[in-house]
Amino acid sequence: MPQVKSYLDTTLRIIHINRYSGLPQETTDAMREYMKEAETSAPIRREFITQHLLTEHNTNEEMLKVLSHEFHHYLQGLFYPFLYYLSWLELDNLMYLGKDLKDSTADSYPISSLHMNDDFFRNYYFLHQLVEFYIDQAHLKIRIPETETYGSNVFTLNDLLEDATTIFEYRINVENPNAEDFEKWINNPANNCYKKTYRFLKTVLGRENTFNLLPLIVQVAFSCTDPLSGFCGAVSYINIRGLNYKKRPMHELFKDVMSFLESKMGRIVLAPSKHHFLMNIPASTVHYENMQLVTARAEGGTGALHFPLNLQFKKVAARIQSDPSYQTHILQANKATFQELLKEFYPFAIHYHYKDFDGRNGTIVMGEEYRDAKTPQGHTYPFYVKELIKIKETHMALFSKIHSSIDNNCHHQDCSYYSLGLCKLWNSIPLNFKDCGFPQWFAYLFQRKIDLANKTLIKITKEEADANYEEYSRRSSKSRSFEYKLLNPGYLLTIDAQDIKDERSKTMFPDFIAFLKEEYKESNQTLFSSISLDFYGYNHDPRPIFSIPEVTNFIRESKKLVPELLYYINFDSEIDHKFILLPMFVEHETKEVDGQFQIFAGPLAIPKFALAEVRIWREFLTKNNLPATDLIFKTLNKIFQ
Amino acid sequence: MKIRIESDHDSLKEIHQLIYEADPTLEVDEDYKSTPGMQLEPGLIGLISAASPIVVAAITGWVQNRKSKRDAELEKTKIETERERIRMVYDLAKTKLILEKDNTKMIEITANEVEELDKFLPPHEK
Repeated sequence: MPQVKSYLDTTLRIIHINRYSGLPQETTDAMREYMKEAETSAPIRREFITQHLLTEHNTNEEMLKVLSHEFHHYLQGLFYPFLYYLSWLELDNLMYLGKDLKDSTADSYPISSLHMNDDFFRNYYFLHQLVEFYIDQAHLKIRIPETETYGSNVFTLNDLLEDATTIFEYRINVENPNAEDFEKWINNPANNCYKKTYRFLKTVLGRENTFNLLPLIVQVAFSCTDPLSGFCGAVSYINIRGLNYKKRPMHELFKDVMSFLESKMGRIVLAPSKHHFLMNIPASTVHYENMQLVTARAEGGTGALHFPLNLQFKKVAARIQSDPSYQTHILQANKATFQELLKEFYPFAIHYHYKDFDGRNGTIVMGEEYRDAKTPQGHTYPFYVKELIKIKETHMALFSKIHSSIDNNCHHQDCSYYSLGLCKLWNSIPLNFKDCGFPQWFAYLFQRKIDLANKTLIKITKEEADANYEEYSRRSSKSRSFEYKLLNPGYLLTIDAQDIKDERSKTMFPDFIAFLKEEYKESNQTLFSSISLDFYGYNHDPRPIFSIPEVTNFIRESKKLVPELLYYINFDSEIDHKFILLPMFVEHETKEVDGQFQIFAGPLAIPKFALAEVRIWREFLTKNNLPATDLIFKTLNKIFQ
Repeated sequence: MKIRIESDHDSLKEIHQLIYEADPTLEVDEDYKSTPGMQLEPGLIGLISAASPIVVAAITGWVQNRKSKRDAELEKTKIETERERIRMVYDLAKTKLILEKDNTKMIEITANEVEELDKFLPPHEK
């Protein structure tokens, strides 16, 4: 099985899966060759990914393991209120830095001079700050380690998140989860799990307590504005007073520990307008009902970007409000509840990067809840998320060194912008880099153009920035209403499930025929029997193509615009156009016989349609002074045999 | 006495697997390094375990196996350039063992010295 590497973008909370497809070499070569010729590869990509993942989700254990690991991190962003705030804050901080650059009146900035100031850096470093744990009279305490060594008693907040995830992974993978078996499970290196916090905590609380309570302790920790203090407080409380998890439900225990911490720290109403910097937020407990200012801000508008996770976070908050026990819903997950959680909180975006192919052939799979939904500002989520990734990653490249150690997603090494590294994770990579909209997009966003020779950012006027945006829109929007591929001879017109929904696709056929005449100097005569149709995005649909109403409507509407449509179709191609298209126009019944669809038309239905078609073709030929060759009538015969 | 093994991710995974196969109950701690803001999963940078004969045997076995593989590779591809030969030797030399006592760094041993690991261990742990 190919190795799968993954990570969760802690800012946007998008899951990224990097992998090789595992397909045979000849298949990947053929696909690569195909995509090289296809000006737009989106439908192929969508179809490939959908099909590939359907198989993978049933068979590839490593993939499932990686997905369940990242899914738990995703859930942590929903069920740990302060972690949600940290992610939102990362995005907000980046936007602040970007706005600062945009609003600055300085004529020029060397790119290398841009960086986060100390306050922002501390925010960003927060989950990775090293601390040393030690026990003092039954209390867990922390101190700054003497050296920057990542040693056995030295932890980061990230370690806590990872170890809670390990227990989740274990619980959803075995039939009867228990502490003893968990020990064996984590010992096996094949399970590839984090266990550092567990092993340390075991020395304080014992094996059973740690196995059963570590996820709760981590959730408590991230329900505090100072998760390390929350963690230490919770561990000390349990160590001294004990928690009877065998007799009392998790949500009561959670409430106990939170009440204790609240008595020590108080609680806070998080306010984005004043809690910009983590170091300035007083150590307190955070409750869902006190997150309303954050969720209101995360909706977007008035200068702030919409934060997609907000949709699901508000859902969790509402559930907890009506049923407080719901907060600990993820703590004792098992195989069954995992499926429920997945259904309820499917990640809003999973970005699959297939390393066999160019970066332009990665794809974002949107969660069902988000697929057809719109942001409060009226954008579709698939569009918005793709643009949001551009914004976040470019800010990150500008203001941090993070991108210096990652691979370039773009394969256009000859492009002048390639080595600059600001567009490493750009996600609208064209076939030809000269068509790339990155420079114009950048100029619009920061009101500065990139001077490649001097590696500086030069201030431009608002009018220039707007002109750049127009150019970016022109480059990035699909310039045609159709997608096609050259065949030898003829053309393959792609009809994609997504495209059919697009208003512009209504004129796909007339546009395509006009394009072929213009681009390839085709004529009505040469276009006879030259177009094949390829339907994408319906493989998961058990119905035959002609029984899918939106496809049938699309083809019928197209035929109204181009009555001689069937004249252009290649009925000799490998694609069985007769089987696909004819039932769309002829009244019929379909029966499944031995797993195959058979079509039964009434005795007059086909002759009636054939007669109408003959009239249309004859009229078309006469009008265009085309000879009514035998071939044409042979084709008609073939269609209606 | 503890032993800490530092190497690249794949080598550490191989060594860990060898130790596990020899004794599934032996606790081997993994040391990770996470990069701020990098958002990637923390990277494995070391293994820490008791310096028991099982661990020592696993490490020596791994080093010998790696050396044999390297020699076979050198032979197979007839790599004669000095630079390439040095690179392959260096790759193995990056694997480092650190014997620790009470978390205090005691001594570092390169993989090339691992066959003599025994001489660094206190008598009762040999």
